[in-house]
Amino acid sequence: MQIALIAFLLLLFKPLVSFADLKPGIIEIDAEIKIGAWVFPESPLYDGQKHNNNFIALEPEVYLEWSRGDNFVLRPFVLLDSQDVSRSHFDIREALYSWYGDDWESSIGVGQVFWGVTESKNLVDVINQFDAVYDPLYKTKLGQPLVNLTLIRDSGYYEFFILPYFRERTSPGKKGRLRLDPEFSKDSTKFEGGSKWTPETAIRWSNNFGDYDISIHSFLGYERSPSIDIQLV
Amino acid sequence: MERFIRITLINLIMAVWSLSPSFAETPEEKGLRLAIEADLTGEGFIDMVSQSQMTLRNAQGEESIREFSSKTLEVENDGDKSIFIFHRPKDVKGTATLTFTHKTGPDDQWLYLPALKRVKRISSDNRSGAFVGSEFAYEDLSSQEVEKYTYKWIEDVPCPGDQEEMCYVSESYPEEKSSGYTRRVSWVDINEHRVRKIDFYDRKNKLLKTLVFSDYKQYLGKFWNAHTLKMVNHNTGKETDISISETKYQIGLKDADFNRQSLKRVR
Repeated sequence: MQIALIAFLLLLFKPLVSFADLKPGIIEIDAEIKIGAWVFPESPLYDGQKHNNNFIALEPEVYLEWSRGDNFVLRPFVLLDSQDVSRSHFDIREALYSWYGDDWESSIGVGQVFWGVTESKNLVDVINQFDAVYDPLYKTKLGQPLVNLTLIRDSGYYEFFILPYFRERTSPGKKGRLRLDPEFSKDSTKFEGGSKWTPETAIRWSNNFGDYDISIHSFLGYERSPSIDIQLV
Repeated sequence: MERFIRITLINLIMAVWSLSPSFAETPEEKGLRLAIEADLTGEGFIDMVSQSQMTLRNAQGEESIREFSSKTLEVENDGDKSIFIFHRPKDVKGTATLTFTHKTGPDDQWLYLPALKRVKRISSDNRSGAFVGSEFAYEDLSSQEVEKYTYKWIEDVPCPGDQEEMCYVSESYPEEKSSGYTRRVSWVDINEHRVRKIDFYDRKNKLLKTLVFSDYKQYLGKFWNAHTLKMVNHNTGKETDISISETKYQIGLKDADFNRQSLKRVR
């Protein structure tokens, strides 16, 4: 475990050294703003809930690329909800520095990793946690701190991950319409490994044969969906 | 015409005299021979990059314009590898496709969707689908490999749009069952093996699309490249023009520039 942490810290230095010596060759800045409302025709069941809530989401993206191909992407996310304070939140979707050679690629920071096939249910897509309050349809994910090395070989893609920090799934607050009954009590989460700072590791091999995409992975870490204890307070 | 007859006569005499099997060449054998000759003229380019503009036009004449670039790498003993990347407008920016053409068997093709930040595979059943809403199908992006078709020479005629040159008309039938075409009819000039026009026939053997190539320029004293491509869909009346503004050969692309990982970071 300590070796993993030291490796993580050592890798952290690599981008810092590179940052100092060069001005980026490409700088791109984008932003996406989303204004939305949920309207519930049925009357609310609990105190504090309303028929509708309005929200605004802002997601800027900064992309920097250096002449030798190293790149850094920063994508923060802010959501403000008119009703549920627990739904309003800030997240760093990506803050990832990547560099690569001919047959490998490596990255460090906060990233979004997708495993599986775009059109399917993605049961094996376990690296990132769902942002369940922003997207109750479970399509959007929180940023995951990670160190990654991908080897690109004729025999397939080999991905190695160290995930130093666990992201807890977001959950609605007392005033959120899509909340469970009883409500979640905040900050009472228990971790089997002791804390959120329990390093997790993952290895994945994937390749395609004709029309078939095949992958095998091993993941050592926290289950992404929480088990819920019910307690009388 | 007289010269043409004389050359033909000489050829005929030589063929009989040498008793070469080419005298008895069937239209199928001639079609294959011409395809191999045409393929050889394009061999040895190593790699290539180009900048292009794509104009989509509907039946009412409304246009939308996109800018893209492409990279192609020649692969020994197999089909080429290529990447297309869109730069403009904003809604398609970053969309990219990666194609591994194979001489035999279905090609491998991936599409990068920048909004989702995901690489999606184009299954072989979808290869007849439209490429970014254009009249070009995904399979039209694959490099032309001799082994992908069977051939039949039809006739020699003056080239369409260029009566000075003679073209051979040849039919090619895709080997791949998932192709959207039953056959393609091509007009190719005899002198330089430049494709002038292709008619695409759909699965019901009905004329579906016509692609016309023009503005040929020669590179490195060998390779001919059409700088204007015009695809017309006869079913919908829609058109897609591709106009190539700049082409460079042998810039030193590597195999590592063509994988799913590099597809995510092309800009």
